[in-house]
Amino acid sequence: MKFYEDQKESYDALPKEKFVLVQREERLHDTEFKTKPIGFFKDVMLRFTKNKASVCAAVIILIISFFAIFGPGMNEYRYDEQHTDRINMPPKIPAIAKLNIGLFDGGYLLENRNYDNLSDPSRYPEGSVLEIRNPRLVNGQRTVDVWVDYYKYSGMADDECYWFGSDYLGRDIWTRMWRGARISLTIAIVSVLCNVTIGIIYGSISGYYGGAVDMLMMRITEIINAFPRIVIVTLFIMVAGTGMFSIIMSLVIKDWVSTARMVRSQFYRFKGREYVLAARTLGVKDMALIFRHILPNSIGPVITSAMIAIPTAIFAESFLAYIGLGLQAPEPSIGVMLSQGQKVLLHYPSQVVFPAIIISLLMISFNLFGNGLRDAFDPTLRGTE
Amino acid sequence: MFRYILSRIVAMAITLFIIVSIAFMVVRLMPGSVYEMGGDLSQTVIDALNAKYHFDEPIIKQYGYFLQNIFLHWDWGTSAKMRPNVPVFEILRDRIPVTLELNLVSLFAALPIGILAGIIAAIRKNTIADHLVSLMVVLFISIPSFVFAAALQYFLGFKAGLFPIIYNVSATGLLKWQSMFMPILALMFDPIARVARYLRAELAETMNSEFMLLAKTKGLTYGQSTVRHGLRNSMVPLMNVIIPMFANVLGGSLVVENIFSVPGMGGLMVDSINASDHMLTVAILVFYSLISLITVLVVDISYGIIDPRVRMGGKK
Amino acid sequence: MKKHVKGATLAIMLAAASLLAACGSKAGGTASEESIAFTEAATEAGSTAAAGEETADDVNGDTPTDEGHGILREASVNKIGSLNPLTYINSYSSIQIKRASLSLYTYFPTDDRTFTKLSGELAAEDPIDVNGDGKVWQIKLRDGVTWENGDALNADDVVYTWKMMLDPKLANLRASNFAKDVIEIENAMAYFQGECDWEDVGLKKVDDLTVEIHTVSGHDKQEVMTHLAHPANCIINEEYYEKGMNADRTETLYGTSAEYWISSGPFIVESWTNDAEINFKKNPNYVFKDLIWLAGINIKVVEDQSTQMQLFDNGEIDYVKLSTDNFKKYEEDPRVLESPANAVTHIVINTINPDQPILANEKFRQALYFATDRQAISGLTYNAPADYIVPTTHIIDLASGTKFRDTEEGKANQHPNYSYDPDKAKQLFDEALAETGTDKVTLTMIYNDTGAQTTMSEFLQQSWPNIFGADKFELKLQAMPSSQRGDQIRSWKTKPDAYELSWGGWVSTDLMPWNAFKYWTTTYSAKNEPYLNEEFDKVFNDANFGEDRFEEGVRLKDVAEMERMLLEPAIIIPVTETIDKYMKADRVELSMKNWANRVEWGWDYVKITE
Repeated sequence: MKFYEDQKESYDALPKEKFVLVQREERLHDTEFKTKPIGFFKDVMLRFTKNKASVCAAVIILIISFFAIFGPGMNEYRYDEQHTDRINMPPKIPAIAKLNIGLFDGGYLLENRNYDNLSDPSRYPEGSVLEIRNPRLVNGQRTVDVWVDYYKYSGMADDECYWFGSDYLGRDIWTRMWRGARISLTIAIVSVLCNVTIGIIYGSISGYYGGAVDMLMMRITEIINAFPRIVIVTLFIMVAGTGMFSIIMSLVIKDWVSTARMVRSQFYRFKGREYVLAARTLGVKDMALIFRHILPNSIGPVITSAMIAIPTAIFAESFLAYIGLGLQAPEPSIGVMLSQGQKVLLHYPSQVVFPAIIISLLMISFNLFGNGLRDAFDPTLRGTE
Repeated sequence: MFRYILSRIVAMAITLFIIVSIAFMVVRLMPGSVYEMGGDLSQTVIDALNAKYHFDEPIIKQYGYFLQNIFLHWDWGTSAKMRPNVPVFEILRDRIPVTLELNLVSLFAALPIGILAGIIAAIRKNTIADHLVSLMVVLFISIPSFVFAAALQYFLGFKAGLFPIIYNVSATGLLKWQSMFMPILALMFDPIARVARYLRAELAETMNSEFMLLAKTKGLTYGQSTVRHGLRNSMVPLMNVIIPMFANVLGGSLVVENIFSVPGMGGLMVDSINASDHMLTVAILVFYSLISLITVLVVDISYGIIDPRVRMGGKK
Repeated sequence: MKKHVKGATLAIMLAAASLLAACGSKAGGTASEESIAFTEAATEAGSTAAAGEETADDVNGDTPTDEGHGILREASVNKIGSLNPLTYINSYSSIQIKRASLSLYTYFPTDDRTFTKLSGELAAEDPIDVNGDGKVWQIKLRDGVTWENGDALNADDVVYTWKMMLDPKLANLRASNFAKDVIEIENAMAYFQGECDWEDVGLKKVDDLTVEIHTVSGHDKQEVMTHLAHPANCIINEEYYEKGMNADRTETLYGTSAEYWISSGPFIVESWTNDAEINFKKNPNYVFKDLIWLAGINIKVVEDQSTQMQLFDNGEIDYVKLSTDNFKKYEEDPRVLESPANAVTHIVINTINPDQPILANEKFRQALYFATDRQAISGLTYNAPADYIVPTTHIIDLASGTKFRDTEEGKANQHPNYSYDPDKAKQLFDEALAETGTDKVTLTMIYNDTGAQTTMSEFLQQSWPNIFGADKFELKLQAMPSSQRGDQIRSWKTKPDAYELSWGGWVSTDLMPWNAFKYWTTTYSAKNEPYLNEEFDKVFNDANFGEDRFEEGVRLKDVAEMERMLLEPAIIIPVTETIDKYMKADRVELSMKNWANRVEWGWDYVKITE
């Protein structure tokens, strides 16, 4: 079966003069672009701003950062200022208390009180008792639960208040929380920056060279991975004492490994690509290949994971605080406040609720922010979350 | 492939040996000597004990005794503080089954939920279902486990009285499962969230590929094409998330186990470090590193087998 | 508005206001408040003392039965590391060892249940001073005592226990028990170090029901009995001890699991899951089975304080120790059992730290002593303030039950306002700075980041600079896990700069306060602070080993003297006394009328009334 006739000869026979360029005298119909070409980062910005969730997350991060910087200065308390006569105060914000919705009004339920003491003005100052609940006899003693205005009960002036309550030494939780957020964020950002830097360099080298180098370098990461964080922290505490440095170091030493592994796997994906081969054929040096041609492929995933690593680092710090290896007192951090609050969760829930909200917000917004950034960096992955 | 696996296993053995050595040194270098514990011990007895366990000799010699006991008698030493005189691996053996049981059940319960949630979110992308799943994922990931576990215990266990407040070691049958419910639930949040999140992202990526378009053109519905073709492809990278989860079932969660009083692996490391129980600490370190090494190996090998496009160990 | 509605509802519920005013102890409050009705909650029915006794008699009978009645359910933050009396580590283990084992002597509640008495458990009677010089003591054992499996328990077991305790190859931790502490056994440490034969050791079997001990110096029977009542002297079982022994005879698994354990004490280990749960049942063959009403005790390890609290509120455990955080809720609850203060927490000071020469300055340490606001601190931690060393409960004379703090000598060491005197402190501080020529002092305090130490340290971090001036004094805090902190402190011998300030406590020896001062003697093995004072050693030896120590008032004078020697130059700075607080369920009826030394609330002797 024949699909076409070979007519080359008849075409060749045509005289050359008959061929004329149609558009030789005319202008091209395509118009030039009026817009300017946009750069890579501008493109990223554009794509990022289209993602509403990520923008929202970025705004939340900004707000938290704003409070982390200015929050501690917003009222008259210092973060380490103790008032031992006003410990564990419930939260009170005058503006909200006036609304009478039962929140932030300094109310607190004193359980199992002796009813006979209620009329004693030295214990319950005038106007402090708001409601008496659950009257009962316990071993013959008249016992009640008393809903009190805790600020009047503790004899505080009406204009004095702790917005988010106070802790076991009468320190203002609002001030401490924002200062804690500042410190937690610092710890997280510094450690993540270090992780990313070390991880990228290590992962690139390991992934690019492969073979024996890779084998050796990966075994080293395995060895590092084998030591739990608590061991590393304990060692650093021995050398440098508790505090930010030990915590950051323990976070860095453990966590760059995952970045390195990710970068390495990206290298495996891309180093065999044709464009890399082409560049190599053109005599591009190893370093240039690594950092100019292959590494940029990993930027998206690295940034995403770094964004997720920030709240994870805050979590890790709070775990260390939970087992008693936190910061040097009286310095607060979100983790220190959470572990402190968890101990009194049933009695003063507000002490754990506020830091928990902050850490959750940070976690959510860094996640969403990271996703937005990744999509913006890598349009092919668009819409994949 | 076989050669690769073999070389990896050899490398793993060497790595493990290095880890054991470093672990030994690190633990001995940590502050807190075993028998200097205050109380009413006479110096004669402290000296005798230190001599008995060679704590009075230079660390290199101690290391020699340590290796000798392992290689000649497979003797990893005995606990000194936590449970005096008990061989260290016996302590691990007592604790592992509890943790294993809880974590395995919670993982097997969590995986289908996580996968289902991920699929629903991917298929019904940008609908209310997707947003609900995303919200769930974010909540599960972003609330610290000690808050979560304590809240579960307080509301389900104490206030509502639906489940026992703590894990019941000696119970059997239904009672046991009842007491296991809350710790299992608390342990499920993390795997559910992670699997759902990862699967949704992977599935969404797969949905954009050309073969999905083909599947659609040949007349499959959105759901059919997702489950038959998309899911199968997304499972490969998902294994990278799931395999380490299975390795972690031996680890135990300090927070959950502490709150629900589960006598598992969770707090053992912290306790033994705090008690300066050196031999036990070394054994736990070795145990954990063995798990982490095997996990890495299994992931790498499975990656090579499942997805030949990404062969490991090649030269540049 | 809301509260009026509620008040009205309550008023309708019960109008017998006058009746209530009669049963209330004091008629207080306004008329409208009195309209509130107080009823016994249904679950708490029978919780009043009278009603409790009635039901108790019904279920428990007049005397305890062999099986006993009711299970006491406990929760504990501690774990039983080992039931082996020769190697146990923590005092919590020793309590459980005592529950399941016999010792020669032990502490019982007195018959009127108000105090404690030391008397024979396995021993049939008090030890007999054979030669009259207090050096050879014979102890008669009870006849017919058996192990859980019915085997006879006699002098062979006692001697075997002693022999194993001192075995040089086993090198048991508790061999210290026969080193020079309260009493010193002839050649005990020589045998332990492999320098002599067992026959030379002053621990001998006379016949099947008599053992004999030879001490190096003379003692009275009180000292001998106290010593033998130490939990390390609980009798071990040869069969099981050997069963757990390894081939080299260097380790034994005795007491590490139910498989290697056999009981002989008031209770029998019924089942035991390591680090999780232990169940005891009453031993029907126990010597003093008539003291035990319980059918058994069930202990669960629950490390989390708020979990324990929930278990208690849910009625799943019978009593709970209240943490500082939990106490506030029950501050005014009549069910709270407050133990008297039994342990003093103090600040330890490294006086030889080369980096901080000011710590060697007596005036500076006194400044810290007078600048410590003990009342404010105890307000934060719900403990009692203490500016002294010997705790309130410690008894100077067991026969009369006189507490040291109640004596004139004891009171002489206490100061008004618990030695809090900011003006004096400031003055001493300035003098100390002038003497040492320093402008500013920056000290570091190491502490455990758990419980009260955090609160106390953070409080001092602010209050001390407030007195001395923030430009002149700064306190830094350094948290550390407890065992590492202890080690760090005690390493001053090799590293003089090991620490500057930290926390310490008085280990309970509440019937022999003179003995506990050994922590500050020159030769003590685990000294916290570099206090080396021959004068002090001399007083200590007088009180513990001196010829005239049994004479009236000698020990009292010595204890007061030792306390003064430590307090005056502020070698340590006492801060608070710990008060243990318990909540007990109504189904438990205490047999003790009050807290007593050693026996404490006597949980082993309680009745379950339902």
